Amino acid sequence: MRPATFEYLAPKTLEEALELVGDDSRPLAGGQSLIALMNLRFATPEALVDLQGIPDLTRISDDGEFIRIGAMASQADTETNSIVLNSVPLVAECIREIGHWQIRTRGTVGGNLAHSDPASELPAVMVTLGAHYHLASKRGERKIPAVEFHQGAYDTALDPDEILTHIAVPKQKPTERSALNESVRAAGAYAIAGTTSILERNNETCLRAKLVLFATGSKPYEVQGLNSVLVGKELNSGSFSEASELVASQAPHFDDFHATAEQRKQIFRALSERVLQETWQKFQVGSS
Amino acid sequence: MLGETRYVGSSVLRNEDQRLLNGNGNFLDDIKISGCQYIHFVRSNIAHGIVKSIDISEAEKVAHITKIYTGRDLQGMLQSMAPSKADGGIFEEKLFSTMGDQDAFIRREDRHPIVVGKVRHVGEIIAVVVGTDPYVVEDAAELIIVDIEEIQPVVDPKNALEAESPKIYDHWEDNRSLHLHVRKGDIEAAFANAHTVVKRTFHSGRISASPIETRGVIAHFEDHNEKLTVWSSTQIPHPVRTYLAHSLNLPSSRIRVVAPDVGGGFGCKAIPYPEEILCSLISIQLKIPVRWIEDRLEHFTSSIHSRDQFHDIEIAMDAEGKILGLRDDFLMDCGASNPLGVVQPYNTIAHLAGCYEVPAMDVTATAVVTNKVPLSPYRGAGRPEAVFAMDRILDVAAQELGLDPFDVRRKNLVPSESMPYSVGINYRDGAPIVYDSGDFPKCFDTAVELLQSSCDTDRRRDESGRYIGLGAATYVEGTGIGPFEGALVRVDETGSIHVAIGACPQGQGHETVFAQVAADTLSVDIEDVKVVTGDTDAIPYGWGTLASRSAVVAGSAVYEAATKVLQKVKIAVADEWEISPDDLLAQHGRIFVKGTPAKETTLEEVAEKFSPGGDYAQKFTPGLEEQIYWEPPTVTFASGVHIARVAVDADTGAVEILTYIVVHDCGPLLNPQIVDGQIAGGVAKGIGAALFEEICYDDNGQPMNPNLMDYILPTNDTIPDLLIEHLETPSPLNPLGIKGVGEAGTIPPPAAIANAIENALTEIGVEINKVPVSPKYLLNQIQKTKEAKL
Amino acid sequence: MKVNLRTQINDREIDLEIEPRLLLSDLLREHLNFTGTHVGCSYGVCGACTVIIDGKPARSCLTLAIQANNCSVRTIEGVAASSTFDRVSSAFHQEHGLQCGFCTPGIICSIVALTESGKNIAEEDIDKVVDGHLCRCTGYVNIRKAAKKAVGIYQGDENAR
Repeated sequence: MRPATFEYLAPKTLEEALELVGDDSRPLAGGQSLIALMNLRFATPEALVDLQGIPDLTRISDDGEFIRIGAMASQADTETNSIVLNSVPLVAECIREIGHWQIRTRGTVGGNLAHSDPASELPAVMVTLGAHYHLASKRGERKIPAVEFHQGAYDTALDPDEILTHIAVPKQKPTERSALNESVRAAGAYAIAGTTSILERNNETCLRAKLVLFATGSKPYEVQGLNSVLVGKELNSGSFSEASELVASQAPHFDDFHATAEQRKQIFRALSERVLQETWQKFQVGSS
Repeated sequence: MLGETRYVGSSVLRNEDQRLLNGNGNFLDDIKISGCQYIHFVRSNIAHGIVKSIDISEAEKVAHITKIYTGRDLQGMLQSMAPSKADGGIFEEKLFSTMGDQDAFIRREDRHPIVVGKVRHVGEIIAVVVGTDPYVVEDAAELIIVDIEEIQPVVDPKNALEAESPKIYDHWEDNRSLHLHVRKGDIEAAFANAHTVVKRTFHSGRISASPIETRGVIAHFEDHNEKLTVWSSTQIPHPVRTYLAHSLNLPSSRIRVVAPDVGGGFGCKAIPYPEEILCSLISIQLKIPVRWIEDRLEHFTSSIHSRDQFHDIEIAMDAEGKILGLRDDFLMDCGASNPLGVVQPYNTIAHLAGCYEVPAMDVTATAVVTNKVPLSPYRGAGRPEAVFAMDRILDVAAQELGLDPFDVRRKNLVPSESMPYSVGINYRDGAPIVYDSGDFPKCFDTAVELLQSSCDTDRRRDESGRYIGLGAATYVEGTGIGPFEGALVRVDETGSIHVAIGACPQGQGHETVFAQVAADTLSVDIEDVKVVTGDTDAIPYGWGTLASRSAVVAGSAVYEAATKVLQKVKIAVADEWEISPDDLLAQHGRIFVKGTPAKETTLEEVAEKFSPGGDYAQKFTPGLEEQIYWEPPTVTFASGVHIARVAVDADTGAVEILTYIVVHDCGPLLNPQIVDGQIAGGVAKGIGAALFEEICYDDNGQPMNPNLMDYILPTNDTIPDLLIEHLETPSPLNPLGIKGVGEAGTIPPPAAIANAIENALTEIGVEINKVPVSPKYLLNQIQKTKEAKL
Repeated sequence: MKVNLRTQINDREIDLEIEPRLLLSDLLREHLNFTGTHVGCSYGVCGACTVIIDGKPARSCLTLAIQANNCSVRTIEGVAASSTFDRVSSAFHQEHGLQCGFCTPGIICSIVALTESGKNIAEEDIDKVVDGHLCRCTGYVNIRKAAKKAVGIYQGDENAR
């Protein structure tokens, strides 16, 4: 269980890196998924372009409207970053569920997103929060919504010559609350099913609701028609239960070693009800 | 028996800890030998088939590759690996002669360490790559092209029994590798007179031992003295030596097998393996040291699996909930071979009645071969399967009778006044099973008291709506099986005590516990005792650490050897002082006349006089040392009760253990902290078996989860703090009165937890007939129950 | 093509030509003989290979040696020379927080890194850190006790001698 040979490239700037990445020349972020796959020889890239020497890519900043998280910011740094904790608390909450501290110290935000593991929490959170990913290539830069970036299991909109540079996450408004929950068999194990949600409230009624499922076997799935069930209402257990019915009727069909498709739907339903409840409760206790 | 004890009975902190804590442990892969080359095994990715060709031409061209071997190259140089008397076969003749059933049989299969012709499971060795770099041997292995003509695999053990099933061994008449039948009492009458009879099928899933250190072998044949040294991460260095001697046709005296620090074994390192033979052979062939370290994928596909029994169990009860009779017909899927023969299935039979009075029983066991990794005992070794069947069927029966399962259990326990209690069937060593010691009702009552004082037993739901339930299970465990274990105790001329034992630890603290025994027996400071384990050159014969045996068997050997050393001391000193040896006392390294402590000598002085040429050596055997091989008369029975309290999320299938209680009786505790550590580790494994761990195969015989992402080991968050209490009823069968503890914790958790889950879900009415109770299984059972009610 | 690695390992300056594919775990074990770092799975799950890179615990099996370029790496051998180690190791010794000892160096590295992180350590932090290690011997109970004792939030079993 050791990697096959590859060429190692260590650019000092983004521009240099963009010259180097391509079809068989893959960016190396923290390597917490990629190196595991290489050890198993499931991944055998011809070259790795190590992005860790590019300082710009690790920055986390607040531009007023968005929190910008550099793709190479480590997960451990991100989850404890005060800007992140204050302005996009769901991102911090979510990252604490990724692997273990010992993995997150080297695992990066961008690496996780670009890997697009269907069982991963972070892509779903980015979809929930309506984040945009900034991609760079020699051809120029582009900005793409999270929901379009994640195209399927381990499949993204990233072209081979592109590098994910940073993620712009809209700051959570004072009228918004968010939460995440998942069903995992043991610490650090892959989620069998997971949900993440954001609710916006005006006075006592729900103004906006979004619920995203992950561990669907593919990309994160946004539950459709949720607003018609929740918006304009004072939410209570009945509303959450109604919303969860919606989830059960829509959850993607995904059967695997850990749960059948029907069971997964049932778990999604239960988790959805709980995550909405939990999100709503955050308004009551004044927490973020 | 021991007199004054300064160490035995105390939680003496471990001698082995320091090197393990500061990174100076000496595990297999830490041993560096100059010029050592790396071995990588190419393994079959097909479950069942015939190897048609192996093309190594591209692989041979890779730089730094020394040699590539296939089965054909090595065929003539090796004997096949027949299950031999070096393992569980030792007691088989005696067992079969006492079983008294003409239909009982065991089929032995000779296996070549490397595939020649037929492949029988994914993971079997097809080729061996030797090279100077661990990365390059993998590169070369990828270039080897193996053409296997596939045969329909045998995956489901029930299908394996059918007449039209493909056969794993062509020369066998069918796929059965073993059939055992044991009965006692009038079973027909018991069932005829029963008030209630219930029958269920219970499956204990297939488990991987998964120690954190995988297996590994370093073999070094030195041409100049024709000596083969093999370091192996094994539990059984002496039996491995015997195997190597037979397989390589070498004198045993030319082979040294060393088990260095071993990073967990749990049974999966308790059989000789093909890799030990192949590495040795290649070292002899190439005249270089070679090293192989099992990777985690190899662990799942080539280290033994365990459990995997399907029990059709039926119990006859009277109206009050007393057991009248028990029938069990179980099937064991032993994979491609059954290296330890009767050990696991017969252990199941022997422990089935457990703590309960069962007047009549009729048990048959059938093992079939399939295209999976071979099955062999893993911590618990057939007993968790027995307890899962027995303690589950008791709960089902209680439910049927409308009685409380705790009451039913209590009512059927062997009463303390019946001890020693004769079960009426034989153990696998052929001796009649007699529970030599213990107090089952007291054990049970203590557990219930602990439960009641630790939680609200009436609570049925928690604040988040989870269902709460309670379950109990009891067990006995035959521990300290023979045939023997050895101890060599020597007082060297500096007065320091050298103890060498055949038992070889994988974390059990032998260097501490046996030092405690030796120090107290000789009445010396424990700092003066050094225990050496795991080296066939340190003591000529040995068996190994497995089967909850070392404390009992090696402990008794150390005690006896040290006692003989002390006798030798007293005889020599008494002779010199012209007094009776009985007038002498040994205390804290001093030897003196009782009542006249002024007249004294020291162990050091005595040892010096025993040195060849010394005063005592002229008259007595030179050397102040004794070597003992202690043979137990039969096993001694430990026993205990576990109670689990769980919370079940019926929507997600998640189970949390809220409270876990253990009351255990392994006799006097040599080192309470180590005993509790063994129990906690065992319980964690039992929780793994109950909730998480199962190796699954698809219809093509491919393992579906041979990795630590999908084969889930218990993590810190899944194991609660335990409430542990001890009963210490001494065993009459050994000089220290002790009983083994290594496996105990592992035995009842599947049953106790399954009972608790079922109890929690009483409202829904779910039955748990299988472990692990994964979310997938549990949600399926809930769904089935709900559908049946519609 | 080989690459040049300059790094500090246990206060030792390393300057080596290495293969890019060399894993940090192999650099430590095979090239530098720091064999206290153990490898249990090679894909980051078991945690036996955990070392401290720039003050943070990390899996050396999921780190290319070259990724440690210009870093400071501490293995158990380096940690054992630190002042924090004595407290942590004696807690593990006293609480019987290890049996076979194979997973132990990784756990010690994690606990030492947590202790040295400067944060105010709560019981939950310890639990989470231990969650990141597989142990097949102890059942974790005594590891938790030892780790909590090491950071001073558990007094320990006074019966042990």
